[in-house]
Amino acid sequence: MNGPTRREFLQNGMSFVAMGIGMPALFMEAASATTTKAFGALGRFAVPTDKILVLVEFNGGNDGLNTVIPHMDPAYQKLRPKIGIRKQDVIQIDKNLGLHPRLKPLMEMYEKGHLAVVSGVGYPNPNYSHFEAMDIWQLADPAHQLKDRAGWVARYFNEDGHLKTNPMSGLTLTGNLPLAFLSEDIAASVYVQNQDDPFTSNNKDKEYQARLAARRTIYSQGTVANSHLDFIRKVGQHAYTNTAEIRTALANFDKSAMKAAHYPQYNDFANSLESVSKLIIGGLSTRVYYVQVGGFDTHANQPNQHANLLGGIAESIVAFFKDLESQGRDKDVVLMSFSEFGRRAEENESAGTDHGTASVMFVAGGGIKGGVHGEHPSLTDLKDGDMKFTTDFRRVYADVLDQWLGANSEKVLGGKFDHLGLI
Amino acid sequence: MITGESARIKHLLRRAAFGCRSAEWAHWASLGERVALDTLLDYESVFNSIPELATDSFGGLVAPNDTDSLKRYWLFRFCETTRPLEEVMTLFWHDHFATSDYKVQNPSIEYRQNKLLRKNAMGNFRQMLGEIAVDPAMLVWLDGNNSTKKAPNENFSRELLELFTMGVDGGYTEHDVKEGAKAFTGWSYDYDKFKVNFNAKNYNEEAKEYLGKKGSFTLEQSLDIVAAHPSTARFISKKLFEFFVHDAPPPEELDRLSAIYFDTHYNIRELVRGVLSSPHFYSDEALYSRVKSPVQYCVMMVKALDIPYTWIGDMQGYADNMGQQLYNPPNVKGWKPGRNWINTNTMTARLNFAKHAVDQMRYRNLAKDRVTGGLAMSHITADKSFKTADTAIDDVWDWLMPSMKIDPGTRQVLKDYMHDGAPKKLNPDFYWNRAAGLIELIMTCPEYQLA
Repeated sequence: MNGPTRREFLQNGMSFVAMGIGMPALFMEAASATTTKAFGALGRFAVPTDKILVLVEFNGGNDGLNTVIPHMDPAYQKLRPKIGIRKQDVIQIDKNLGLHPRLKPLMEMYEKGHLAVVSGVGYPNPNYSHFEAMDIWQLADPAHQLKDRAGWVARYFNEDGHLKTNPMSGLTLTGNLPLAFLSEDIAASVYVQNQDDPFTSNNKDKEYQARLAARRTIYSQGTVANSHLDFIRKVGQHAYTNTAEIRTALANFDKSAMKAAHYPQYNDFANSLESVSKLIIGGLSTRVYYVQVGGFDTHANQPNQHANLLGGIAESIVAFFKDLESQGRDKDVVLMSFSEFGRRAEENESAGTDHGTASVMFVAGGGIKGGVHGEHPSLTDLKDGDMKFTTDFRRVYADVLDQWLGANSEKVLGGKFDHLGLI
Repeated sequence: MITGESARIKHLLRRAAFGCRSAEWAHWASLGERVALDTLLDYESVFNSIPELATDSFGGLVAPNDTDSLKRYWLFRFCETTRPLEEVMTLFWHDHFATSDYKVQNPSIEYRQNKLLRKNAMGNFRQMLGEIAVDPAMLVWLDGNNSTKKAPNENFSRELLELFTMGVDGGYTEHDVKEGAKAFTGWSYDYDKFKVNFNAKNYNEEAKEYLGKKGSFTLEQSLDIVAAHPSTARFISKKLFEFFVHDAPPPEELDRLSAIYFDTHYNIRELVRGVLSSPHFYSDEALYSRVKSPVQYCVMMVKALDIPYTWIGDMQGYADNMGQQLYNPPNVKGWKPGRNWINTNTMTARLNFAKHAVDQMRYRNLAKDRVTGGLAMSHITADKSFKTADTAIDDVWDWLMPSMKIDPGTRQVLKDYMHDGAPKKLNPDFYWNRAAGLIELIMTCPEYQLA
């Protein structure tokens, strides 16, 4: 890995010091913390040892049945005469299940044991609304028992004093904070791209520097706790400190390794994973990243749309881990995909599928136990045309929380969920 | 309770007009609270200054085949209209019947839907439902297009109940979604002829069981049932209350508004009048309790600075970075309001926009006359000892955020900024420059994110 040169370090260090003059205490602390975190002693680049989770949201309701296919089940072709994947096209992963043909790039990871497929994932009393169902996955609270509407990742952050106070604990590459990251403590941020920094500048103009200094002070002064103003002020502070940290990280990744990974071009998901990789390699303090892929609400003309989505996703994930592997970080990162629901077992008349229930989750990474986990739901024992889930999604969360992030899943999830042995 | 007529009118204008230009203020003030409200509401009686086809900020004619030009045209309307509530309500309905370019991909029918929403913005809710159900953009967006007897599509049927009328807890079932889908079959949009068609052969005329009623309901009959449902009255009342007032509508207030909905036979204007004339609207809980949406934030700023929309250039780009792209809501539920607008990325965009707007005046050398005219400058230059920065700060603060208290710490920072490095000899240029900076700083305060 290429750390910064001594000259770069000094320059960076100097700029933080320069920024510190006339800066309120809070920002001084944040800026110096950023400097030491990223550079350690003597300008050496310090590699964070913490494990990282990348959450991938398949937005719209992914058709799990055409993603991981029970190709030996005669009921499958009966339910899916028009849009079903033909038996000879399926990529077998065990005697009953196979992947969609466009997921073929993932086989390389699967064979190494770096990809886990969890089938039949759901929860009791399924919700068919995109928004309600998505909230259930983000809150991990299907029975609406939570007192505070805080997301499951935010609750994990809040259990840990350090994560709770770091606004970079969670970082999303979507435009808005997902509910999973949201709580009063906002230990999460949105990745700021291609925008001017409203708090700092290299411009030497005295009036301009005075204006920026005034703004930094205004944002560092407290207001009434839990008010909108307090929230806005906190986010403003984070925007300031995070920009500095992200800039540092982006100055530190290895461009040549990234090129060798061959991310697919013109693909938003690939771009997002590429950015996540840069930030991980660059040494950001983020523990959980969040990325989204849309377009899964395939009510009509599903086959091409779904195939293209899956193809892009498979190529991107493979490139992402190759990239991380070449920089020695693939065993520190786990990627987990989820969707708000699966789709109805039987196809509709528009060559599409309507909202359904159980679906599939992928868990990928160099440090996991690959293979098929969970049981595929029966296609003959349906409830109102929908598959019955076999694995509660909170079991997957529990695995990741306890075995990967070193958290206490019982506290975070408000109950005990058996591990699947994914990690 | 907000007291003082001028404070009350300004609160009304923030919420229902996205602010007002300084040149307009004397007019609103002269009308008084009651007439100002009626003038906002009954806007058909106000001369409409906006041409149907306008030049956009780049000087070109608005092209209905270019979504970006549609966005610019709408933002132009927001900034320049004499009927502000018309645009605010059109935005309300755009968010409500959220239809997005990322799937529709046809600016011409997106603009057509925008006109539909503007025309019905204060009309009859049942009438609007009927028009939106067979609106081309909606037909494409929620797959009603070519939904047939043989292949009924559930997408529109579900969102109609969940998001457009009854609300997710409104008491409908999955069965109602499936039955409704049958009633909405038979419609399609002909792109070549720009025409919506109904084909009786593709329509499912069978008996249906819908929301507890049985019959061979058509689209219109199904919408009659939905519009007349108590959950719909409550859901629309709640959404309007939350949009204009605050997040915690008392149940008895929703009862009162639901009664207006039924008494006036679904008249939206009377419902909005009910919301805006309610004591809750002027309560302390309401005052500055809303986080400005990006469009509201941008428009209010342009109006407060009293600069023409055309100076701003890429307002839509800034609004996009703030998380709101007109004609492109994130999904059918529309934009998430309140604190969801605020994150590190959107805050950066908000602060940058304030600088951009004030910079436009600096570049034109108009900061002197327009930003500071009659305000900060008169106080600063009148007292050569410069001890009156306080008065200047108060004036600008009160102009941008009337009825909002200024934090003493913030005041001190602004005061220091005004005096820091001032030459000993009075130099008006120094203060003109600082006055523009003062305005930008106040517009980037956390407080200015609220309305």
